[in-house]
Amino acid sequence: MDRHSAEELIRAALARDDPAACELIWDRYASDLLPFLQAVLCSKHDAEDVLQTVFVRIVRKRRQLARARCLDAYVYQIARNEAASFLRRRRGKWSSMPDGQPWLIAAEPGNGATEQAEVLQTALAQLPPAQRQIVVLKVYQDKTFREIAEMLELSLNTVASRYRYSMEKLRAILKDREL
Amino acid sequence: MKEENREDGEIERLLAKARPAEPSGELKVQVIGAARDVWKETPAEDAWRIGLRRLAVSAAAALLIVSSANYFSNRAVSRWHPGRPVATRMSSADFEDMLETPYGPFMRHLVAMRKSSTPNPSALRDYVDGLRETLGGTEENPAERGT
Repeated sequence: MDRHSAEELIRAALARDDPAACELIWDRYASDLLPFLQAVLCSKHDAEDVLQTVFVRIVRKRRQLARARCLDAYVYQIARNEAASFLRRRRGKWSSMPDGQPWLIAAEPGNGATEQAEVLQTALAQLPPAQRQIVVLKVYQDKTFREIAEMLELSLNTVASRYRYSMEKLRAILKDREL
Repeated sequence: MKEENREDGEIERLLAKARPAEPSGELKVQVIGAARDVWKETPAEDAWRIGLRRLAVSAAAALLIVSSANYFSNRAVSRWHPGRPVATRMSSADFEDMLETPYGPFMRHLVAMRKSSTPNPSALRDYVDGLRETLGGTEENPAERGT
């Protein structure tokens, strides 16, 4: 199912106030939102917690979502806000720092693949969250700069320059690594 | 530029050797269960109700702002209210005290304005007497006017 027909189905379910919209929203967004949240929070466990909060928030704001001009932008705005408030809470609590559980896994199992994934995860963790989320959306979700700009409500130039800076930084970090 | 693009491509290929974890089926059940529970608990608000609530909140905020502005404005200017002319009611001793207060310059200005607008009674009396004498003299000697 393409993006537009999925959006139409979600809008129709929201208009009927049908709880089946939960599954439709999950099918459309979960596989994009979880990597996005993992990239922002650098933690699989925290990202799963925040994903649940995001869905609860979406349900509470379902009327506004139904009227939103761009569903993607509205959903990602909720995700960004929830991730930001989670990070604010986490800064205040030493005990709930990132758990170290890997959120980046090897694409193909093989010799040294897990170690490679760990190196890449460490490299990505050194980027500022604003750059990291753009790298994840571009590299792992195959989004174009235009789509990312629309989703994150940024200008095209901002997205492109953040991506450029992140590539330069990753190049410097990974230069000495044997991958 | 080409060199940079080539290097970016290498980094992208490197990054593609890993990928973020996908949501599990267990997580789906958990999240959708929580979302459905919230759906049942919170009936969706009608659009008109949201609009009405926003209107009520805006009206209340406007009322509060206008009332506050009125109240503080009245409080600030009450001492110079036209119904209570401060300068005419003050005794001279009080007036001297007033000049020491932070709004002394304003009081001096007020008193000066009042003084300039009040006619001098003795000058006025002299003027009326002179006029009367002139008129009286004219009436007593009508023959002189004819010659």
